[in-house]
Amino acid sequence: MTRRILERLAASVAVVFGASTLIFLILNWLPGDTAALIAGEGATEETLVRIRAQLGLNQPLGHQYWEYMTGLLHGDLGRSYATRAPVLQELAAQFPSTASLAVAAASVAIVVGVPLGVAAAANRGRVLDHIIQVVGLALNSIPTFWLGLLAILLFSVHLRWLPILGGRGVLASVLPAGCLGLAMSIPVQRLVRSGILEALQEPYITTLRAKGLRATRIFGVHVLRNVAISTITLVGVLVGELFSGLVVVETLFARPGLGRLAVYAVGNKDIPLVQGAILVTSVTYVVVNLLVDLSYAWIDPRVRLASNGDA
Amino acid sequence: MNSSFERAAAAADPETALAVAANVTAAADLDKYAEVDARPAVAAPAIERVVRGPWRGAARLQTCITAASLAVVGALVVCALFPEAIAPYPAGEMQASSILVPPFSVPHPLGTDQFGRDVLSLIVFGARRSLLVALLSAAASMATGVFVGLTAGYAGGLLDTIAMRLVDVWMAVPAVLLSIAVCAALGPSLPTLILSVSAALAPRYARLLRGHALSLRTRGFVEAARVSGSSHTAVVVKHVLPHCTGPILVLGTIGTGWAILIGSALSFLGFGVEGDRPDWAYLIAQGRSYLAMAWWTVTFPGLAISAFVVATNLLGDSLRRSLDPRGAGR
Repeated sequence: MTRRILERLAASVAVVFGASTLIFLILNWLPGDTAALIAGEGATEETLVRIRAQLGLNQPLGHQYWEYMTGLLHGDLGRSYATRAPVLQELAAQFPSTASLAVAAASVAIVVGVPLGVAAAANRGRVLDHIIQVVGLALNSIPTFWLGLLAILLFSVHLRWLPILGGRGVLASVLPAGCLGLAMSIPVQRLVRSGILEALQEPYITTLRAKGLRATRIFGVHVLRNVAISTITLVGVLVGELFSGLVVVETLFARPGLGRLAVYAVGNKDIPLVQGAILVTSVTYVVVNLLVDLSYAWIDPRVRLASNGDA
Repeated sequence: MNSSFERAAAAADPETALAVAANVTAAADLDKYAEVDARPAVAAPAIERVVRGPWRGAARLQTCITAASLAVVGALVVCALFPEAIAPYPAGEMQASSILVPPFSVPHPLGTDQFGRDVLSLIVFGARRSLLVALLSAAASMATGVFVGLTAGYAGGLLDTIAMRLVDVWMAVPAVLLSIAVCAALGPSLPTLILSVSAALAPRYARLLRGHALSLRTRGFVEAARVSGSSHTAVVVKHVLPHCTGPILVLGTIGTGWAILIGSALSFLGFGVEGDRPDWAYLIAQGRSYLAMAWWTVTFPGLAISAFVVATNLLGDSLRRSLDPRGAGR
């Protein structure tokens, strides 16, 4: 078990190292002239040279990379071009808002997705199953920002139940978390449905039936427990998509957060801030996946016992 | 953002699929794609003839759905190719006398926007840019994915390990944020948009195709080709690649839908390209400020995007079904 944890940890550190290198290369090595973007059109060569010297852009790429990496190891993400404040400080200010929205959206996804998946599996091939599949396909195919705008149109403009944009408090989070959660509930629903259907074909279910256990008990205890274990793996995959969705939803609903900060920073050509925001999301993704992986090994006796056997 | 991504991502994660016993969707979905072989679709009509009762109706419904999806995609492609012939008004024409006209009226069936532009014409002219981004980035990412995935899966060993670790790293950066980084570095333009969408999609394709190549590597016909003296390149091109035609077609079709969703999100966030022929997402972004007064400027372009994605998803599904008669009805 310890060996497995150490292996996973090492792999995660390697992925984080790789991801930070990738982000650095995309933002600094791709042939875009940051100085020209900052100075705007019609800037003189003199201005450009000054900006490059100020930001350290005239240094060779290897040197810039070394500075960036040693900075990272010291917990220093550089300073924002626009505000001159440390990037880490700017990101820390936005993190709670993003985290609470992410948790709320994930909760909606589970609360909506799991019952729908169970309902679809219990009514396999019947009308309800088909309705759920069709709704799922539709939700899967519409852009999140459009779903958000339609929700604003319905709930804020026509029904006047919720504030339109911005605002603080729980009410202002209902639509963003709802839209994001609804979009993410579809993969949860699909996973639960097919998980149940697969589990029902397992030999142990036949055994339970043969020994005369009631169908509700088989379903409620034995099948669902199995599906619950496998649902955990989906959490890891969903985190990446959650972040992608957060960027759009935060911008649409004018909520403070990492995603909106990243978009705003791109608009300002504030490369260190963009770099920092993307890095934080990638690290979160890797950490969550590591936790999922480890908790999975811990919960599932098959994996736990297998790895104990190795050690 | 788009959940078909998650489905694919779940399917695309062989480690998860292996770690979990066979009763997980990750594995089930992987099977679903893995079972798409380039077998001839001859068996399907035969089954249809034998099956009676409600299943026959279901097969007919399936045909209707496929035809409808083809019609939707076809209509949008025609709009993209010949917008001048279809749009009732010239591109970007503003009529100061008719601003924010409601839809379902005679001169402007879908209404007009805040500049007095006809929404129907805007959607028709926007098709080209939206579909261009979707098709080109789906094609570019598919080409990259096929190359990397097949090479890694077929070669195996160290090359495979390195390639897949790089894919892991690539996928650790959330898709939309990766695209934003590319846009930030290169500045907004159409090629940038296409490149950034492809960058987000390519690792997923690489992973899926690597799985296929891996499973084909030990099959008899591949070994036979090797023994009879074909070079590795020849084996991959002549034997492995043709066996991946099914999944490539299916994933390519569905991937066009993913690509338009990512591209739209980027365009909506302001990384798109301005001009007198804005794409659909840009239209939505522009109409946003007038949402309370004019729901139609936002609703109809969104419907166009959604219709396209639904159609590509359905087409991908029916392609999968017709390429794999065994999996029909699943």
